[in-house]
Amino acid sequence: MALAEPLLRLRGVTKRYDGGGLVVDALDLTVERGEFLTLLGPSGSGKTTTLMMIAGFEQANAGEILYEGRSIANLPPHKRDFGVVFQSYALFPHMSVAENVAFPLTLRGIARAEIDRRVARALDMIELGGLGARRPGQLSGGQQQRVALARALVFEPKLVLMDEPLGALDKRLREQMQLEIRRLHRELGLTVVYVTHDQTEAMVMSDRVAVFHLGRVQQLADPRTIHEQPANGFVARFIGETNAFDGRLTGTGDGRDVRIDGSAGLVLRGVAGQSAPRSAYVLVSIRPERISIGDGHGENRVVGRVRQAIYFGDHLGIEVAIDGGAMVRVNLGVRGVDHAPVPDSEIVLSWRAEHTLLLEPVI
Amino acid sequence: MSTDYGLPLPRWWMRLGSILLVVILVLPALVVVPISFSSGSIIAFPLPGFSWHWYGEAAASPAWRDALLSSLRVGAASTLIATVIGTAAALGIDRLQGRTRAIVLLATLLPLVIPIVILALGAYFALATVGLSNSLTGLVIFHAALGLPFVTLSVVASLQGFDRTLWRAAASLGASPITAFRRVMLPIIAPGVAAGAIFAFAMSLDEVVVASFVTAPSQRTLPLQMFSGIKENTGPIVTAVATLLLLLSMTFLLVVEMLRRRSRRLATASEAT
Amino acid sequence: MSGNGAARARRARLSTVVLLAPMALFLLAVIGVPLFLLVWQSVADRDVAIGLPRTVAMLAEGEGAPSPAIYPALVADLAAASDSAVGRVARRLNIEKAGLRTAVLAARATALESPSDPVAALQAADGRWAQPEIWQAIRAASGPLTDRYLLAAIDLERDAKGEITSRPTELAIYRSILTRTFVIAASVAALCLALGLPLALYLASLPPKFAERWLLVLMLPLWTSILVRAMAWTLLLQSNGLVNSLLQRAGLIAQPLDLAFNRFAVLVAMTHVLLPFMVLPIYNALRAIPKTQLMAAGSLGATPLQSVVRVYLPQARAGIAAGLLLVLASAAGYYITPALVGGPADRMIGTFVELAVIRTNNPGLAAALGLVALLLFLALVGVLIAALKPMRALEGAR
Repeated sequence: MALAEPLLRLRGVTKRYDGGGLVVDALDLTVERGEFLTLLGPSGSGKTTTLMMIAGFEQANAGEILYEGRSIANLPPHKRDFGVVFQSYALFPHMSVAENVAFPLTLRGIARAEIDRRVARALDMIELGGLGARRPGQLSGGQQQRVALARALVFEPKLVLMDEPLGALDKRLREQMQLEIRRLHRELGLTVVYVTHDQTEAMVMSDRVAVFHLGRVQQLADPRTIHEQPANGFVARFIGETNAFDGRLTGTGDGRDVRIDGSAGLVLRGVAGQSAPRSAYVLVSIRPERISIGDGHGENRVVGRVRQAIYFGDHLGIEVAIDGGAMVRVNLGVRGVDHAPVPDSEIVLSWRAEHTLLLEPVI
Repeated sequence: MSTDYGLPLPRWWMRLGSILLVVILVLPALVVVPISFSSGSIIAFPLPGFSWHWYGEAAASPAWRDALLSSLRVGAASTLIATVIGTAAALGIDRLQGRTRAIVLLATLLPLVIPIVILALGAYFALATVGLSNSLTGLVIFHAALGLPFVTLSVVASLQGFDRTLWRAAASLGASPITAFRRVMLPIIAPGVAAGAIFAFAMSLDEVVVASFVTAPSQRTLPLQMFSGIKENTGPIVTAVATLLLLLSMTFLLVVEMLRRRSRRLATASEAT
Repeated sequence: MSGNGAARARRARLSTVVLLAPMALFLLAVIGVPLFLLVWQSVADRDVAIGLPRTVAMLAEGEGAPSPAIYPALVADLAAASDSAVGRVARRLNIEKAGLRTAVLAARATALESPSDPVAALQAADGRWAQPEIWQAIRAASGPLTDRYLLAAIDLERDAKGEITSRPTELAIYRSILTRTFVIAASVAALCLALGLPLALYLASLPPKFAERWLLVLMLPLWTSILVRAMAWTLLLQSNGLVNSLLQRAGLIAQPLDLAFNRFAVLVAMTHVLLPFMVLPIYNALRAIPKTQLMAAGSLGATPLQSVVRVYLPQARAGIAAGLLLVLASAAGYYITPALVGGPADRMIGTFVELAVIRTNNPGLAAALGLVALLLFLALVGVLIAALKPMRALEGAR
């Protein structure tokens, strides 16, 4: 069943540093044809090492990487036909822009005229048509990144690997390039494995996101599931903002009532998250945008005192201190609030049980 | 005025002292230039008058011409050997790390830190043992040894400026290691290789001690010919040759400086943002 | 797959070794072998034993010389030996006792005529073959090892009883020459440090762009022939040279000063040649130290002098050590500059090594002088490293 086989499959891939520290721990991962898969995680979580093992620049200590069902362990990087885009662009400084883009084509013995045609088309694609004769050093950072992109795509690789390609750009340019890479992915039907530590970037671009932590994939799902249904405490805290409390199941109410630590006996009602807690000790995660002001918005109700209200432009962030010292963060859309709550005033918060996720504590 | 914590004395004093020192460092070598145009036949001031006479003498003298040819031959051959071995060694050193790297780097410096007369004496014994006494071939081998550190250090330095991701990028685009070396790495480190080679050549062109130990009296190199010219006081012809050498050195210096700028431009151009 | 990773790592290590191998072999050939031969030559004493095997064997058996039995052996040896072997015997015996060269060469000529009466023929060829001294010299030079060259290099010798004693005063010159060599080298290194350190500090304080222009100028003399520079200094310093004539014209002095062909000229010229070798490594070491450390030192109450001495220089130790090492090595081994600009009292050990091996044909003494100088140099380097601990500074920086 060749078609059922994913384009790329990592099975039990493990990477240790020479000193013995585990970088990637028995990783299983699949990349489907035509998908945009993002490896997301903090620095040192193993995501870049995983990408470099796929590219062939690092060797796994155990496990295997299969391309269309066949191991590529013995295939050196230059025979893999995977396009790689590096954070540092890695443009060849002694070649012009056009020569850089033509480089992979010249290695493949393509005729001169055909090379010229494809280079011109690639440069048009990234809207740098007139700059082929320039040296990379004469281009801006954003232009250099586009050239790097064109160079990695021009030889029609079977898989495109990107290692934080936008990490060196400023915010505005980064957002513009995110959309452009998305467009190229769709238009050219590429299969992309993309590494980033920026969760917004992962959300915007990906079909699926693999959240890395401590050399393991904590959750592999589409962006919405990752956000709404985090698999565990790490994902809940890493993705978006959250109120995270340690708590203990009370043993009553179907086992979904939980007593919050540091809260003078507050008991909340929640639902089990993707990874149901294995013991009575749980992590309680409530997204700040799911909490409303006033009674009647759900099963959970808390009275507290406003500490401060911060205006963010698109929303209002309110910090509420509850009895026992715990702090709850509430995000309100600016449209619904005419005036900000006054610091030190009493406030009532409520939200639904289904937005109170009970998760395995952070590893 | 702001205080300079990197200077032990006020900046103006340091500046004045430094200028004075550099002037004293540079000017003396230029003394030979006016004398080389002297119309007199002794090396002394004041000069009796201007003339190109001694340049003509130098060009016409078979002894000087032979010496120049010997030196150029020895310099070219020893530079070639030093450049090939030194570049290979630098590529090897570039793959080493930590303590091993430091030790190998120090080992490449050995020819520079052994007092030259001791090396020359050892060379004399070694060449006698293998039957290469009194030959330019022997001199080539030991001048290559003296040029080796310059090439190795120069190439190691330019490899440090070489961004390793370029190598990975070339591989990801389909270049085999040999292609990646030939088309990506070599063009970028070429200025460093060339600068090291020029250093090695200049060194060979100026070397007296080993040359006087291992060559026959009939195969004088240029420095040996100059040495005897100075000792035997053969007149301003030596200063004419010295002036020509000075001109050559300036050319070398300028070429190396150009190469260095080019190499740095390539290095900074390959850096992120 | 793990096995494959190991195989790749092995291939990478192998290619590193292949790249480094030519240099390693080359250095072994041009440094290792010569240094080994240097040590060997300083103690080897095989010329006579190779050239005169029968004679040496008979002398070793206690044959009283000059006894008639030994003369045919010598004739047989001399007739059988090659020209170059005889030459080496003559050279070696001449070192043992001055003048014996001619006796050996005369005996060789006689031996080639196959005389019927070797005793009479040899004694007729040179009267010294009748005396016991020449046979004692052969016995003393019969090897295979000797300490005479090493002893001579430090002004010692063995007397008739084999006890080590001082050489006669007129021959005892090498200790003072070795001392002089290292005094000059150390003085030059000290001068270079005294002048080069402030210059390096100043250059390191400039923006890199300006500092590079200075360095370019600083490199200029480095590119100029050392011989040219030595000649330039004699032109400047000699009694009718530029300096003296300027001083006289200015009315500062009445008579020309003695500036050339003495220790002063040697120190000036050698410092001039070697100063860039001191400045460059120190400058590079200083450049690597972040300037914010100096600002931090200042903010913590250090005066500029204190921050240089206590924060800046300790981190530049490796550069200072490298500069001192380069200058010491060059100054100790490069005898050409002193030979050109100095006087007879400024000749360095190199001059005498060259004299011994090339002019007086005594490679054993040359090797011994070279070995002693090398050992003294290494001891000096050892002291330098112990004092500055450059390796620790290097590893700390990494």
